[in-house]
Amino acid sequence: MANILEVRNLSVEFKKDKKPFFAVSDVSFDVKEGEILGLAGESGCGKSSLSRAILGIQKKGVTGSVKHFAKRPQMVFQDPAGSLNPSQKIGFILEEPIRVKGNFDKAERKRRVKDMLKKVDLDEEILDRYPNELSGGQRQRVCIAAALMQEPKFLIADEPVSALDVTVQSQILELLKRLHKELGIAILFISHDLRVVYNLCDRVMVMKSGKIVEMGELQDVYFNPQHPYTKSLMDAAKTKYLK
Amino acid sequence: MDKTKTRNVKFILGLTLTGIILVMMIAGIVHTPYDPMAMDLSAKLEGVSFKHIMGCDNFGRDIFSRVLVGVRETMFVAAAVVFIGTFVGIIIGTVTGYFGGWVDEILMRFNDAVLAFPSVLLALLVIGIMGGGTKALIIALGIAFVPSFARIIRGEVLRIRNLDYIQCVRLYGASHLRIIVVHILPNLRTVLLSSVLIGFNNAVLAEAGMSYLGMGAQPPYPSLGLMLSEAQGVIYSNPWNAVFPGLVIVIMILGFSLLSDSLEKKT
Repeated sequence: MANILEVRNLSVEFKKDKKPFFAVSDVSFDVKEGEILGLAGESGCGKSSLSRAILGIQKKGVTGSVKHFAKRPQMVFQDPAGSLNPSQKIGFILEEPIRVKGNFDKAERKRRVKDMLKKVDLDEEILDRYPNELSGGQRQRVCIAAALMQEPKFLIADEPVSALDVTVQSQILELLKRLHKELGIAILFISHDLRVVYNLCDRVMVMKSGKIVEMGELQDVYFNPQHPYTKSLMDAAKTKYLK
Repeated sequence: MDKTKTRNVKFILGLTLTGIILVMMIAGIVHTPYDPMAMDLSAKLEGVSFKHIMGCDNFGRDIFSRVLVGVRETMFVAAAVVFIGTFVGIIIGTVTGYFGGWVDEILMRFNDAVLAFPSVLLALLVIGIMGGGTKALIIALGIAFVPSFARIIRGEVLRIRNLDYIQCVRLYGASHLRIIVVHILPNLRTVLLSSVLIGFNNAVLAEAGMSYLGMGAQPPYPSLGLMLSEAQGVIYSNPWNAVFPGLVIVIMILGFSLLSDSLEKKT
């Protein structure tokens, strides 16, 4: 399958007390059309810096090349409270992505928002509410819906379920799985939780201190890890979840 | 529970005091018992009576009428000053906070310079250039009020612009102007509300102080600060000349600070 994203020799450098510090160093990988690629690693290993560099949010200190082969990618963040404008109603927030582009009239925008609400299993009455009146799970559904309004082919989800409790987590994961199937979007799924990655992804990359130490098919990485760091991660995870 | 109770008390008290001031201000516009500028030498330094409920000043002018008009003057100057401060402050604060870089450096260093400069001295400078009067006072104090607003707004914009939802909107391809106007400015309102109320207080004090020094409203036109300064000469023989305008200033400040205090913690 064709690539939707090519990352070559990407590094992100921060200056810390005048000493250079690489949050991401010399990372290369591809994301193929319509796949879910997992990016696993402990907190602080550079996962978020990597995603910000891919999206071009972070520009300072970024070297290497990032090539997108599809429309502008969208992002779903970890904290669903911070990723919704607190002073706008949900209806406004969901319309914003297509309002910004300006090629639909009001009625068409409303229709598209309603369609999207059905896709993410939300009630229409939610449109008149403010973000702080929703539960964490509802908010994350809204975030996903907003990210999909421009019909992207590629979505980056940065720890999208880490702030939610376990039952809601599995609902959101199911939703992502279903949307992935229905819409054929590629997802770069970032998580520190190996169990979640295992449930969702086709391929997986393991990241440690800014480097990708292992990359491959899910089963290979989980059951036949090569790198000592991956091995220790898997052992730890197995004793916890994969008995 | 206890905290909400004191907050409510503060809110109600603040509202009442501010209400009294507002009623006085409206009364000053609609009707005053005497012409605030009419001198009546037969009533010179007359004490408190039913005819003149706050007494009369050195020129036999009714102090109550003068206070009513003075409140209006003070409120007008304070409101105009806060408006200038907030308006320019929002522009400078948003531009510096949002774009950062060298624009931020230059404007904020300039801001610091103005902030470090004593505001009375700054006002003196502007009034010296423009000549005295209310208009010059408003501009002078307005300039002096910009830096503190700009700093507050800048900090808040800096916080908001790094929130995830701004990143989301940026990924939609929204323009900077749209991000600022639609997604940042509306979220400044809580910070703005309390700083406007506090700023209003400071402006009332500054106006009173400046007209006390003779740089605001020009006699015979009344202003609270000017009345205090005129009362100074007769403070031992006729203390009410100073007490009533002073009391009104205290009520004004107290009302607004209680109000801003209770609102600040509510949000």
